[in-house]
Amino acid sequence: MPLQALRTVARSQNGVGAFILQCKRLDFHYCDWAGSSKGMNSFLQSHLPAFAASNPQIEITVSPRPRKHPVIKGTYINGREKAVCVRNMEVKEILAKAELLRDANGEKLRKAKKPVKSANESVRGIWDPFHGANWSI
Amino acid sequence: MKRLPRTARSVDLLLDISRPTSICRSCRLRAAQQSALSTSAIRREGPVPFTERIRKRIYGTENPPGQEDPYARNSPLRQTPETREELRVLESEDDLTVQKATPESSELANMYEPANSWDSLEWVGGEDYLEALKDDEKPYVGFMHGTKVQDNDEIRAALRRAVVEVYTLHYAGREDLTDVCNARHNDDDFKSLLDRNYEWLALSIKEPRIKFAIVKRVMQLTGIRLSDYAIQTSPTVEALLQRLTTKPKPKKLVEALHADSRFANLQNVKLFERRVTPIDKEKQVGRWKVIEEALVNRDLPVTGHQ
Repeated sequence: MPLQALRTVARSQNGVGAFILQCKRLDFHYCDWAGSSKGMNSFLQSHLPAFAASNPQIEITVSPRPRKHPVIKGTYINGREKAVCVRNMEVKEILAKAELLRDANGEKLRKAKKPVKSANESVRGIWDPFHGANWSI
Repeated sequence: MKRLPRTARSVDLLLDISRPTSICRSCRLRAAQQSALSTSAIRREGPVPFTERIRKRIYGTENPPGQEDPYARNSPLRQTPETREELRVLESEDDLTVQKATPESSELANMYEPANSWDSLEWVGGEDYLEALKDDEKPYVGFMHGTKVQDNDEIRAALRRAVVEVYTLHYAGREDLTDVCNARHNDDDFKSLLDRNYEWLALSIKEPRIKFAIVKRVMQLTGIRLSDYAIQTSPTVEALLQRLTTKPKPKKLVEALHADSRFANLQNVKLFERRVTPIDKEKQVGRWKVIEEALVNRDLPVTGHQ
């Protein structure tokens, strides 16, 4: 039986064909009393309705966390969580942080050392002793 | 380095040769040599100041001529002609005003006895003190109503009264419309002025004279102060009424969010009224009753953040 290479099946890639947002949930925490929540409180009143309406696929919860700094927590479909403290920030800055969490994929942040990154295998394939040049020892 | 005072030096005991002592003569001589070899000068703490000693040395006499302390404030060396003249005038005034103490005043001074307790002393401050200060004949009457009017109907009635009064004066051709405030506030129930007719609310109060008079009268009647911004952004009587009867801001943010109609149509937003505790999270996924049962079976306390 001749040796056959494994057939490559098309890998699913997010955004090729369909795009699934990796962020599935955003929790907004604020404090009614503390001054560091001032920007967060006005964000929740002014910008959150529009933000939630433009991102219907994200579950959004708003809950108080008394005597604590305001925090936005993102939960991702890979099971990880990302939390950003938005103390003393202004409305625009908080909106930027919410968008950052929405667009993140939930992976740990890694330094990109190589100029090119590909999900595809090498076109040269895996080395095999039965193919290619016969080396006589 | 500060030296020991002359009297406190233990070596001095040795130096006094005339004193009968048990210490031998050679030891006393060595102590005297050490005392003479000392390098630092002895600081003299005496009544004669440093400058005086320098002056004595310069002049070479015990009584040098001139000012005792040339650096004193009233030294002639530091005085300009103007200050010298001022000083001269002041001195002449002092001569006029100074009174010599008479025997009577010294007697009075001898009679003075400091107090040991505060019982007999005059007391300043406190409620009794304020009561005593009050002038009953002319009690103070403030311009504005003593307490803020809370009832919205009463505020509306006061506004209507102010509008009617000001426009009456305006159409009567009076110059100063704020004369309406001269009619002092009485306790008449002017709610009866209200009727079902709301046309007066649409009246324009863009003219500054009329607006100012109405606002002044309303503030007098209701005791509610209006900010400049609120007054400027009220073109009609109705807008002014809204400013006067504005509801207080909700104390909690969640109340304001619940009142926001934009959240009502959003399916993906959930608003919590209190902190989401770990037990709440377990309940959300239906795990809490299992945990509770397991805790009860093991006779463990069912506690946690409620």
